[in-house]
Amino acid sequence: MIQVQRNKNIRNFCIIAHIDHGKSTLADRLLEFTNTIEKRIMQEQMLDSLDLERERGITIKLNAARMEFTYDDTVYVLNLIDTPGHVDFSYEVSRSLEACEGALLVVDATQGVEAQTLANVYMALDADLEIIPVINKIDLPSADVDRVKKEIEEVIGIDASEAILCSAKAGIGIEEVLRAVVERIPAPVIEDDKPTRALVFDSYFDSYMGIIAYIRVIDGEIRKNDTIHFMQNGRSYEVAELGTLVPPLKIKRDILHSGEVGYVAASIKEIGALVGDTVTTVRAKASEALDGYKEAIPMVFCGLYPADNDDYVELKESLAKLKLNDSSITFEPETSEALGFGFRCGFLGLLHMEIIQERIEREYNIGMIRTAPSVIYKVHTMKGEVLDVSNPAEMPDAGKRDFIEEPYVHVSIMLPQEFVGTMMELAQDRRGEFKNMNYIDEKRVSLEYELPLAEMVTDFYDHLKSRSKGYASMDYTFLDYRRSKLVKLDVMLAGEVVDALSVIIHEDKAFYMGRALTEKLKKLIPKQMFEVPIQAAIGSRVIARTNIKAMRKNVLDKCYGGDISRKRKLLEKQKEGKKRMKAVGRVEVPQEAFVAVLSLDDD
Amino acid sequence: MTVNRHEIEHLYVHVPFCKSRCVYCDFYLELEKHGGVSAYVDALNREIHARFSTLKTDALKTPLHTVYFGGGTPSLLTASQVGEILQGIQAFQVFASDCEITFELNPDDAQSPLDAYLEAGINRFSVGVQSLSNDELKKLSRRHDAQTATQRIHDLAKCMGETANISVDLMYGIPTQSLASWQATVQEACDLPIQHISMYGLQLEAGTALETLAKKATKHYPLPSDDEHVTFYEWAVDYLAEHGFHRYEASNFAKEGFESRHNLAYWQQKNVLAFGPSAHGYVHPTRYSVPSNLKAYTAFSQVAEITEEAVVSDVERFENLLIFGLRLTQVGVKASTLKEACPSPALWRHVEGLLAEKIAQGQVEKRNDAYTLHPAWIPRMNSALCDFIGLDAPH
Repeated sequence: MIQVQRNKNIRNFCIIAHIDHGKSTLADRLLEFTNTIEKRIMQEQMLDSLDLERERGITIKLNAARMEFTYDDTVYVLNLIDTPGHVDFSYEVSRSLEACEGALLVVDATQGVEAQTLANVYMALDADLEIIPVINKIDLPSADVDRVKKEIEEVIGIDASEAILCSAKAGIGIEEVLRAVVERIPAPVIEDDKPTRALVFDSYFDSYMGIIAYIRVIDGEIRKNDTIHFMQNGRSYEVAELGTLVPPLKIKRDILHSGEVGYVAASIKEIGALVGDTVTTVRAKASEALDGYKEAIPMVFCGLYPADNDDYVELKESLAKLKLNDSSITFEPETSEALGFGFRCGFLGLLHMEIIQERIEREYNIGMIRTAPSVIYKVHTMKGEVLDVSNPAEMPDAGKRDFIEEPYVHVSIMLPQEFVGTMMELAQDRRGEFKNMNYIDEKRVSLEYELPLAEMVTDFYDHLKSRSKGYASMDYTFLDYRRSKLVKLDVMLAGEVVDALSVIIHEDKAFYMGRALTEKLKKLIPKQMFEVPIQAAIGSRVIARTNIKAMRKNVLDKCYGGDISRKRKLLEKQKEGKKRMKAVGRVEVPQEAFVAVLSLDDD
Repeated sequence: MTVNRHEIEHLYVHVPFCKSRCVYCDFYLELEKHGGVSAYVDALNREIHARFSTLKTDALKTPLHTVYFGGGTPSLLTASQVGEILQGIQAFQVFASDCEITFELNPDDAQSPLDAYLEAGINRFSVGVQSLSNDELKKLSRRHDAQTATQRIHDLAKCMGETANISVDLMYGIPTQSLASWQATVQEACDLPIQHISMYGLQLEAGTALETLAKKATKHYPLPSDDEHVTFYEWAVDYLAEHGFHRYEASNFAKEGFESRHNLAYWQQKNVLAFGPSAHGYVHPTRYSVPSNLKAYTAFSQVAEITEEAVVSDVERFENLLIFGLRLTQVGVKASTLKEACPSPALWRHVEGLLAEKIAQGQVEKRNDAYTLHPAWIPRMNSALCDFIGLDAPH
């Protein structure tokens, strides 16, 4: 048997943690302890480089950092590859895992194991990673280390006897974590002589250097001036620059060996998905690509429309740029009578959708209207065809439909037992089918349900959090498609169907939804120049109606002694208000109305 | 015909003094009891002198067509002060023989006998009647009562005889006002010997006493709803038409031949030279304002060097012609005038399209090659007019 050669001085690892369990703070401490970043330039949570991440306190985009740590007089290079901690982003987690040999499993000593942690740990186990349990926040008065250890062993099924106790915030146990990384995580195997294969686990667009790919070299090596070849994408480029990542800097190198993590720039201008692709070199060309990742499947869909139609092209470009380092986004052009030209976009989940929308608005400064989130329905027609429909406006008429299937997900919820009643109520209300209930320990329970995805994408997560005072956590996985009694509910303004407001909904909920929608719209749509009937209808059957009275007056104002600017200001204000409106037939509808479907129980 | 865009035919004089501030007013003013009227008149005369001296003579070749004393309360000036001011102007520019010289007058506080103002040169009065209900006048914190106002108008008419040219201001939407009380005010006003009525809906301005009262003492200051405003307005339009006052602008009504030529100058974007603290003037291509406190104004009057000014772009001037021209419910704004003022053929095509669209929607009418707002859209004119703002943005 051939002894494998390992690059003894390198460790590649990631951190798995539930949201708020302190992953980013721990990452910061590691960078600080290894003097990777001087304290004075250290921003809180260095790895969360998007503003949005820092604001929301969660990691969305993964990033990587290279640290140097001296242990027994040997300098080790520790590559930390960050992972996001939210339920929507298991896809990104799988990318990070592929580039590592080990993972730190961070569990909050006051909270215990959460549903999402579990899902990520199983992914890490699947990827054969060495897992080091780290119990964080041990300095808090409510910390219960023994209980958490027991949970790790019983729920996850890994040995917690050597779990590291730490407090990232207080700086306790940081060195122990680093030592454990060196001691327990296997060094990467050296395969320098093999044909080159490197995994692209992230990429971003730099306006000077073009697209920069973050890579983990698995086999062989990449040198400066090598011609690299993206095996799936099919394109070749000459390496302009490569190196390693020391946030916030990059360190240029002439060569990256197998086992190393770094970046490569090659004047790549074409926007296309690189992430997940395998890079090889012409010099030592590989014949087979790496496995890549579990492909992320968008589960939640919505229409995104520029608030100002002139921004259509910008919106398209911004989506393309975001797709560059988030290949899970899908988008294709779509037209709405009410909203004009836009895109039907697919996302991993609700949070993912919100984050992408916010990033477009912030980073590209494009105002947008988002339609209600939807899922892909399988519509079986009378002719025997099966159509994938995610846009309610494209739903065939009732007469042409045989039946509709909708996606179901398996949801596991972990929560303190006192919230079980209210959570079951919520799940029931969302057409959930109860599957299982287990006591994790005396206080905590895990609940399992099968639930239509459509019920989950509205605001299930928000309700779950608010009903449990924030203590419940959840994870979901796709199950299958099931036949359901679904109908298309249309909203009509002054007799015209507003395509952007149509929803696909379970028959039993249509009446309530129709009432709620029409009432909400009545509040949101200002008085028009004429009376506007608002109706909710299934096919030609009107199930709810109300009226907006006609407006009679703006302002009959005085012409103030020649102060024309005063009058103009008034008109400018009026115009601003009007700009935020979309014309639906003769009715002017404010943008807020289009997301009203999202938040029917706001008030 | 090419128009000399620099010629000045209209002049405005602002008198900032009042005996007290009315609850609904948010304009700059000076309380009369703090003094300063005669110093103001001195400064005003200096400003007139200084300002005229800076103007090119060709701007002053044509005679003045209108002069307007507005306020504040111009009637807190004596007739001799008014005469002095007019003479100061006359030293630089001749008055047309039919020059309209308007003087705003509060019913209760003229400083000189009425005929003295006539002798000083005033030939048109605008009386701030507002309402002929004493309860409503109290809600507005006006100092006069209905009887004083009507008496003052009869006196004026008697003084002016055949040359009578009197306007009254009326206000609707006053707290507690009912349709009946509004109708009574309009009917009584119609019976007065007047030739012109300006009619305004009361607006709650931010920071005014009335705003506070309307919010905190809703029981005592119930405001008529928007719908009532429209009912009041539309009733008055019909009633006035039946009684010889035709609407020639959204808020202005006159007997034949008594339309205010000064106000028309504003709406038609004519040059208006303005004097007095906080006055707003426009002399192509610049809109400007005069500093608005007495101290700053006194200093300013020495040189009359305008610092607060803005060049009105051709597009903005064109927009103004449209916005204000459409309010002229009789003459409207001529297509030829618009086309001539329009800075580019592309913009003109766009605006013609917009106008055609509005005609189709019933918002605008086109008669005798002139555009006007459709009467049904006058109460909602902002919704129609705002589309003519910001035309220079890409479309």
